[in-house]
Amino acid sequence: MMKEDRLYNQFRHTLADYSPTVPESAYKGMRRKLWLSQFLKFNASSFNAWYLGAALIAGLGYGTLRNDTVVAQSAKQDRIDLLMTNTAGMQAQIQCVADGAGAQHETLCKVDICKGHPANGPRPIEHAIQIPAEVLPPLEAGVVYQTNAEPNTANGTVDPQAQEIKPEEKNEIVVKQPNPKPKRKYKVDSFQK
Amino acid sequence: MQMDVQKEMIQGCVKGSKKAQDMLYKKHASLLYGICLRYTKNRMEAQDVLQEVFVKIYNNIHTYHHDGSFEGWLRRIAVNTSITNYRKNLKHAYQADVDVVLVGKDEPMAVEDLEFTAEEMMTCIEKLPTGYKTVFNLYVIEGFLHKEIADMLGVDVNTSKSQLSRAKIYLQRELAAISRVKMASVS
Repeated sequence: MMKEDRLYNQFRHTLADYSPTVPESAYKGMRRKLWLSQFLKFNASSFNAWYLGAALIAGLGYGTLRNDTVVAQSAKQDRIDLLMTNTAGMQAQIQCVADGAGAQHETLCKVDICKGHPANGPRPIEHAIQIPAEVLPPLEAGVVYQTNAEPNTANGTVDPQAQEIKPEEKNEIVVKQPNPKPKRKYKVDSFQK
Repeated sequence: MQMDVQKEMIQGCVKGSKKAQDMLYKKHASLLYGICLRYTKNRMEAQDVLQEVFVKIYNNIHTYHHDGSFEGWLRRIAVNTSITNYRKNLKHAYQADVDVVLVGKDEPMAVEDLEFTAEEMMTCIEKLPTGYKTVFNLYVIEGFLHKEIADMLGVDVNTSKSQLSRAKIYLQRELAAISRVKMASVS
């Protein structure tokens, strides 16, 4: 027991305050680890991973939102173009008939667009519908829509803007977009303002 | 006066002053590196643990309330970090314990009356398997009881006792070998 104590004491006394030289690289590594640990820890007063994360999420959210807006704007733009050149400020209901065979009917936002021959002929217009930009049908880019309809002046509710559509222009509605697909032609059975 | 300097240094560290942090590092890095060396397999690992020790010190220095020895507080962090590191590498350490230590039948030479330098002792400790080394350090240098060591390392009390006993035999042999070399060189 005494011998054991002596050995242990020898180790204890010699090594308790053993202080070897620290390699210089240890300091740099320590600084790196300290910076990382403080960066990962939330601290309201300094920039850290939490702020970076929040900024990234905000950026990502903004990017996504902006992308959506761009898409929406682009879609909306098509419609506005359509309104501007053909139906600006007018009440209108459009029914399109494709030149070729094979009827296709799309009902979009209170506006009927029929690609192909209408099964039941032109629809009677019961009352005109105001088409805001948002509800205008998403007509295909580059597709030329045609209308044979005359402005309906029977009920005397024709908007003065309707006069802007000249007889030779009113028959054609072009949806403008970059890189348009090959043009297809549709007949519009009725186009009432 | 020295206490005031230390207090100022600690307060600087609490505020995150780089100057105060560097001062603390310069003053205590050697001692803490010595502790880390005793518990780790090699110098690279000891450096890693030392870096973690300082990160813990800087991040938790606000919890030191000047009610005990500051050096003791630093030592405790170094020992605890070394134990955490040991437990992290426990699987490999156990493998090494089984593989490396061969306890012979010969009675080890009495080395208790001989003088050894710190480097010689460190060389012997360095050769110990990590498990033995950890128990030896905790019991002999840090002064913990076997029950406390068993709780810290998550082992049985008897495991702690047997590891200390084997470490002692191993160290006696290593020291005996060193003294034989020394005697041979003198004669």
